[in-house]
Amino acid sequence: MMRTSSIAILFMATQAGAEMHCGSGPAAIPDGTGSVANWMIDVPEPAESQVITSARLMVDITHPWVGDLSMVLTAPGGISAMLLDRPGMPNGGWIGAWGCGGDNIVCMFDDAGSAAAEDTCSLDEVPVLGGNLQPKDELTVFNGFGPGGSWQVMVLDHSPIDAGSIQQLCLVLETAPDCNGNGVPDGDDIDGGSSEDADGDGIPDECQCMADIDGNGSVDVSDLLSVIADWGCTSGCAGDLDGSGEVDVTDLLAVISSWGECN
Amino acid sequence: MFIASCILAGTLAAVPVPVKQLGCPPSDLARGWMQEPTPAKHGARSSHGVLPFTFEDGSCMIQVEVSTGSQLRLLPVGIGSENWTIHAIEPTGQVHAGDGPRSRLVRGLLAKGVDGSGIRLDILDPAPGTWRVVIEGDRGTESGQLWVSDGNPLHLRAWLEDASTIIGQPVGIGLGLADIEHVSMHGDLAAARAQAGGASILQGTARLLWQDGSEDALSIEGNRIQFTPARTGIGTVIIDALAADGEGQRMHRTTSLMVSIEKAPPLLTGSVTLDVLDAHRVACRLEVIDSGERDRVLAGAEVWAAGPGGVLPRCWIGGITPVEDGVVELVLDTRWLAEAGCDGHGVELRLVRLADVDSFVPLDRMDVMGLGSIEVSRGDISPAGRRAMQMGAGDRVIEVPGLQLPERANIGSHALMLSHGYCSDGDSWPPSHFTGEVAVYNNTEQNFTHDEFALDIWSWGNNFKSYSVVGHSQGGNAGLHLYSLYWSGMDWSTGNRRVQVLGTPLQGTILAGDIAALGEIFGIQCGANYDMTYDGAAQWISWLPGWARAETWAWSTTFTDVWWWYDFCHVLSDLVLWDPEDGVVEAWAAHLDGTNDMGTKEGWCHIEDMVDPPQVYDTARNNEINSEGAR
Repeated sequence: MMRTSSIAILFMATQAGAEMHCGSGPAAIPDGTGSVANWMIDVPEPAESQVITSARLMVDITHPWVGDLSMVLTAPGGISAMLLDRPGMPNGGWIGAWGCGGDNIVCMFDDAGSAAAEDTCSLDEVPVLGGNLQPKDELTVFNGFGPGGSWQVMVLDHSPIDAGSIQQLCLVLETAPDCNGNGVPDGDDIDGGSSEDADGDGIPDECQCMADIDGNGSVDVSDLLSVIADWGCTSGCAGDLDGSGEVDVTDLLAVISSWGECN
Repeated sequence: MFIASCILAGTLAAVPVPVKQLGCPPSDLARGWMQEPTPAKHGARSSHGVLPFTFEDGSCMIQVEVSTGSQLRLLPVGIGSENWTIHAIEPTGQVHAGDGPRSRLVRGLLAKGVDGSGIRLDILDPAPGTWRVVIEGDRGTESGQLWVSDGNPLHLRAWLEDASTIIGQPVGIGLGLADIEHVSMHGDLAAARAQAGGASILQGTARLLWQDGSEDALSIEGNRIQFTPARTGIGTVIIDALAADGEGQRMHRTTSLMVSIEKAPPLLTGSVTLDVLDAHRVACRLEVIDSGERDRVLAGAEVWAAGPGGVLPRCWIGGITPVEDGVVELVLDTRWLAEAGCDGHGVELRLVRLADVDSFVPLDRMDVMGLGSIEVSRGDISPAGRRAMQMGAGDRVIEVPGLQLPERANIGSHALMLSHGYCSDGDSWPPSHFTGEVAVYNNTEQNFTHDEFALDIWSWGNNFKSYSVVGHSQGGNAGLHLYSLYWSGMDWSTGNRRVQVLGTPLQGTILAGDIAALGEIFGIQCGANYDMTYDGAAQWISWLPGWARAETWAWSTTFTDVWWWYDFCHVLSDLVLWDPEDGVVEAWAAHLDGTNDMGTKEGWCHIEDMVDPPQVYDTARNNEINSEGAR
């Protein structure tokens, strides 16, 4: 009950707009055998092109000696980030030669975490890794990639004697549209000036068929006639395709250059 | 069962070792802990005499002054003494030569490593006066010692006037007689009472015996000895006296006071600067004039502050600290002040002291060092916060040169670590008495200080994720020392008991001095050990916080007591130890205020070859230790 509650608190802390995807896999973590516990987290393909803007991982693992554990998160495209690498090792000072001996991980790996998970240890706190903690590798490495597909979390217990199990692993992703597929959120493209947004609708112009004035799915003679009809117009003109404030030859050329079916 | 033996195959290098920054509540101070002991209440004492003799044509006669006592014990000691014969002739002319109505001959091994046994003649209700003792030995034998105990409770005490024994600085030693009930009283007071009762030292000689066998003659002037050591190391001041009690009856007394002469110390200048470390802690950097002789010291101080009730002690802080850049550092967790209701004004360090990490000999002191005002950290104290107040944040490390860091020998288990004692031959706890994961620490024939012993355990302990220490004899001192002053796998152990000790001279043993002087039993192969003297122990104890004592369980044993005779564990140590004792450690000294007193059990002696079986073989106790020990 407490554990569910802990996970719930972590989830509540996620930002609005984030989506959580929980995985499945073997509960038991092989104890010092060299084998890993593989958890898969399937993230559905979004209806429209999206890229990751933030990735976090919620972890609920019971283990009596977290210094035994390493964790790696791998995205569908093969990009990986080391989340945890035997915290407290190799030379943990007061922690000792075998890493942090505390119990359990109930935390959110988050680049904005309050402390580095690798450096967090306590003789008294349970879970010893709790709250929002920074992973060993930054999770920004996943930004710009599409979220859809099978994500993999590998948990490796390096040392026998102490065994643990995975209770739950959930990926928390924030995404944004990327209509031009350049790996950069559309808003960033526009803000950065790499894309135009003449109509100010937040969608890069290259993703839109601007010259299709009548919206019939193609740039054709009716759109050409609309430009001609608006020629010289300076206010509220549908034919002002480049948003210059006047319908002129540039708009005419835009129709001609876009002639044909919209992609 | 997993049994690992200590494999010390590794490299010698300076190894970083994490030390605890100790913090203790004022209640520890109220109990008298964490305070430098008064040396005149400790020192050494004896109710026996050691008379050297020389054979002429294989025999000698010694005149022995015997006072009124319940039992006279005569033990000649020397090469081949198992073949000697002894006759004792009372002032009345009655001769005792063996078992008789009032006499008994007892034999016993003198010490490991010594061939043969000692032969002791015990005589009940001896007549007071001058006895003649005739010893006959082999013609090749040249000399020996006659150890005499007459049962008179008058003791000869010797104590350091100042425990700070530094090369080139005068060392003063007080001498005095004391009745048995006053042996823990301040030496001067006890001597005054004995003198008022008519007791007196009639004549005496003193010498300083160094570990290499060289001697310095010392003079006794007015029941006082003073000398200025020109060398460092451990020496034993041996005082031979002829004393008389209030009834004029004369007796021999030989008292051996071990001293540890230290290198030139760092000296506090009185200057202190503060450095805020984090939200809770302030580093107090004490300036020292560094003699360059030490890379680390023990440092400690009481922290007094204005607050409820006035200016009062609010905590004690200390621990092992490097001597770096002319500074030693104490760390104050200001939650101690907040907990006492203080606002951080009028903060002072009092009774600031530095001590040697190996001998615990005080190096320098300062009564008061003002800190002024300190910002106090407030808020609820979590269990983790409480631990940090007591042990620090784990961010102080000392570099220990020459520490032998072994190759890892196992896979990081959680173990019950069985440790032998001082100068062990390896025959200690029987592993078969223990179940589960058991680690057998085994580094034989060593003469370690407590700190060296603890670091040796720490080093080997790196093979294990966590462990508790089950220490026999000095192994118990080492375990408690390790838990008190260093971070180790002990801190990660879970279970009921972190330190379990048996026959451990927590408060020292008089034998350390006596046998060092004799060169037998207590380190005949290994040398003198100052930490196990009463003085060394008293200083050591003053660095043990209450939270570490509370996690220590201590047992003692003594010999089987039969009603028809005086019994003992060891034929020689019986003359110098107070009953109950196990042949090495007196029961009272095997327990310590603040630890868990598990009692004194009859029928067991310290080690093998004593009268009763070795105490480590007690299955019942071992079962309990096994089940209760943290791992």
